[in-house]
Amino acid sequence: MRIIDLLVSGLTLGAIYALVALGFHLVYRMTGVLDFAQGDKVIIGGLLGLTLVRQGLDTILLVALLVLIAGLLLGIAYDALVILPTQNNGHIATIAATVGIMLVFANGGHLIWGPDGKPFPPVHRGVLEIGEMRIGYQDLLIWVVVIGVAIGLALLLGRSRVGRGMVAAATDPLAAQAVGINVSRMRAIAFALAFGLAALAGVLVAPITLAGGTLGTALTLKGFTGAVLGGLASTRGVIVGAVLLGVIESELAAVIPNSYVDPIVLIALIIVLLVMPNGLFGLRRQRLA
Amino acid sequence: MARAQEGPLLELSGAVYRYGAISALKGVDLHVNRGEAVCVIGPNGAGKTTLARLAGGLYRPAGGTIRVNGEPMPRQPHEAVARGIGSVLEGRHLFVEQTVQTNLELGCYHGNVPKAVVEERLEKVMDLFPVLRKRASQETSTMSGGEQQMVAVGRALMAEPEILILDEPSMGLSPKITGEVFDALEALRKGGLSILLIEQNAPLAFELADRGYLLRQGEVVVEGNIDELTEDEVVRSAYLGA
Ligand SMILES: Nc1ncnc2c1ncn2[C@@H]1O[C@H](COP(=O)(O)OP(=O)(O)OP(=O)(O)O)[C@@H](O)[C@H]1O
Ligand SMILES: [Mg+2]
Repeated sequence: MRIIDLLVSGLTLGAIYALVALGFHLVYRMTGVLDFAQGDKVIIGGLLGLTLVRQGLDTILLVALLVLIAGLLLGIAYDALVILPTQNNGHIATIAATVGIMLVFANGGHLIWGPDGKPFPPVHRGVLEIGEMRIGYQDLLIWVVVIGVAIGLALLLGRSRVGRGMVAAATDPLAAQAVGINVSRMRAIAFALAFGLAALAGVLVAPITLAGGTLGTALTLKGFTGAVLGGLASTRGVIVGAVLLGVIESELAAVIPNSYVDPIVLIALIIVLLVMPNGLFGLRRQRLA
Repeated sequence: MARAQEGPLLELSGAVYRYGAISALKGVDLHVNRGEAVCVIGPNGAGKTTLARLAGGLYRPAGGTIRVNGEPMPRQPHEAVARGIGSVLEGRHLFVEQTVQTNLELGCYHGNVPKAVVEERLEKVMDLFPVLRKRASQETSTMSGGEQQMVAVGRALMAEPEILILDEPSMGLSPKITGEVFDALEALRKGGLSILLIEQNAPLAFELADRGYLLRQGEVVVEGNIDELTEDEVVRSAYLGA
């Protein structure tokens, strides 16, 4: 494949990683823990979408919207059932709980929908041809969604009252409560967004990767790598890191055997982290926005 | 927000608090009347911070009751500020990566206060602590301890509380800066603000307060007006170097 085609697929892959990485970022900033179920939330989103499609809903944009809403609600439940009960027992307890729920999601998905990936329709099958370049409408849609999400989050966190409350609650929960910020609600919003974005990613990526299957762990790993590469504590950082990771992976795959790509990328990540321990965007002390 | 109410503005009755097996407060009775400045002194580990957080509505007592303006303290910690309680926490607890101005503005988060009113309140705080005026856009983490303490007090004032609860505001400050902070507190008190001051520095606390409590191992062991406290043998030997 040509460099330019690989760039297109790399950007799409990176955009999907970015949606996963944003979940890592939101959860990390709000609670200080890493949520290892992040990738499996994507799979759940894809499978929920599949169920809707099988019910006869064939407007995939509508499916995506419904799955996003379902994801937001699931995120609130996730916070209440998985995070809240464990958070007074320290970070390790919470992280262990996310690993547990990761297995519940993965195996639960297999039990309900079967272990194999299922074909899933894209929003649009067409291809846009600009001179030599061919870009699928599905790729375009994924890019637009990620750009929209990035702008939306920047506005939410940087400009809105809720966003200021979230940043304050993440920085110092006790002080936030003292000034009247409902810290539990802010945390619930962060988990809702993390799950919602992952579920949305699930519907968008399913036409490429199939819905369901065993990709959850890989997505967790890639989303996490992208987030750490850019700087886990920076919104901008995790998006750039994740997109960069997707592009590098795709381009590398053209020149070296597939099985070398992951090891090389991860070694590169370690080197980056040795030089810049807070990631590419972590040089300055980071804020949520 | 002043409600014409009988009885104290803030009242703890038999307040109990535990950290797991550790009993930090073992039934504390304490009250602050409207317009009064009350201090709590006591050694390290006496339970002063725990008391400040219960009084500020940030922790819920395991036993006993806490009343504000005659009504029970709200269950949710973030609702205390709406009841006229301002907490200045031990160790200042600023929103570190934010500017002075943002910290102060976050002080009026709860009421969704209109921008013009926020500006007015900012002005008042800057008048009280003039050093903050030129530092409005500085990140608080790069400020001196004294300046940070002023931001912490200012942030609590932004909600226009009826009572200000301060947990060791002099901690780590030079005598000069401590003096500036306490001058501001004195001015606020003259303006009618009620104050609950937690302090290890007893002479300093006695200058500001009308009444006081000595807390030890989670219990009030001495209480009275400042004259009574200054006369008390326990207080004199342990806190006034007599
Ligand atoms: N989070 C906690 N977990 C367990 N024990 C605690 C916790 N916080 C306080 N304690 C214990 O409760 C008791 C009272 O603590 P508190 O911080 O209220 O005391 P203090 O009077 O404010 O002390 P200091 O003067 O050092 O600030 C102490 O014995 C302390 O060790
Ligand atoms: Mg203390």
